[in-house]
Amino acid sequence: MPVLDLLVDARISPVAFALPLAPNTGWKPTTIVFPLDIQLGGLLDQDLFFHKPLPVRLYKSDGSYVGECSLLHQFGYGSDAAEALDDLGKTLSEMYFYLSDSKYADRLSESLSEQYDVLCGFIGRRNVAAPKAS
Amino acid sequence: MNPIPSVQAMLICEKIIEEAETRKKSLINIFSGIKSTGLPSVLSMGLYARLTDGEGSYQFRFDIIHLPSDEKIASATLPALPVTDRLAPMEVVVVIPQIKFEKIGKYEFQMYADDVFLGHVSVDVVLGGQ
Repeated sequence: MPVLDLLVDARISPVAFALPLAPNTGWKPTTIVFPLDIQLGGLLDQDLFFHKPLPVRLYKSDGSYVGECSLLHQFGYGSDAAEALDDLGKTLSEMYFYLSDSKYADRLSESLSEQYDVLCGFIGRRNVAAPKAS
Repeated sequence: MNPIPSVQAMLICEKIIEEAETRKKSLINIFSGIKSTGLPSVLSMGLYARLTDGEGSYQFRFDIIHLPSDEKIASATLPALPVTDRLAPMEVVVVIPQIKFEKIGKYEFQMYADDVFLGHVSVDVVLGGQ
């Protein structure tokens, strides 16, 4: 198995940052084992952001990949893990916008209102002040 | 816990040049696919990420996954990077002097901050003629 050397040089603006070259000489390719639990912190609509990472489980089902957020009972599907995560990001964004609009129009049932509260614990809107951390 | 940075852009290109005086970066030959005459295909590339909403110290990690086989072919973790101004955009540049693609298919470059998934960009490797 060939060894892949990754030489990393990172700079972060405005702080100049230079890393020593660090070849990963011991690296061996590994196969990802599903189900895989990840902390999702991206892939939302540009107007939204995460207050805190959302636990997501990735797994295979009937030849497709599924990204499941059990806290919000939401799923994303795709032909690979990346597509499933992208789909979940879109689903969560649409869910936020729909519930947010309905909440302010006072059109949410009690269960949806509870789901919206859970969602707001993780996701916020950029032009709205973020809730204070408890 | 640090705020989760948002990815504004994540791009793969052949080369990233940083102007020494201003530290402005130029991305040369941005691409999303590789047509190779044979495998393995070995090439160098750069990964550019522009982030915002970061404050504190972050440890960034990049994983490269061959999606059809779910094989992680490479991983690189950067030492903790300090971010002082939440409003200022951050730029993270990773130079990969040599990467070997042994299979055709889509390769995903994943970016994590403190083990939180931030975003990804993919490159499709296909076999093609001369």
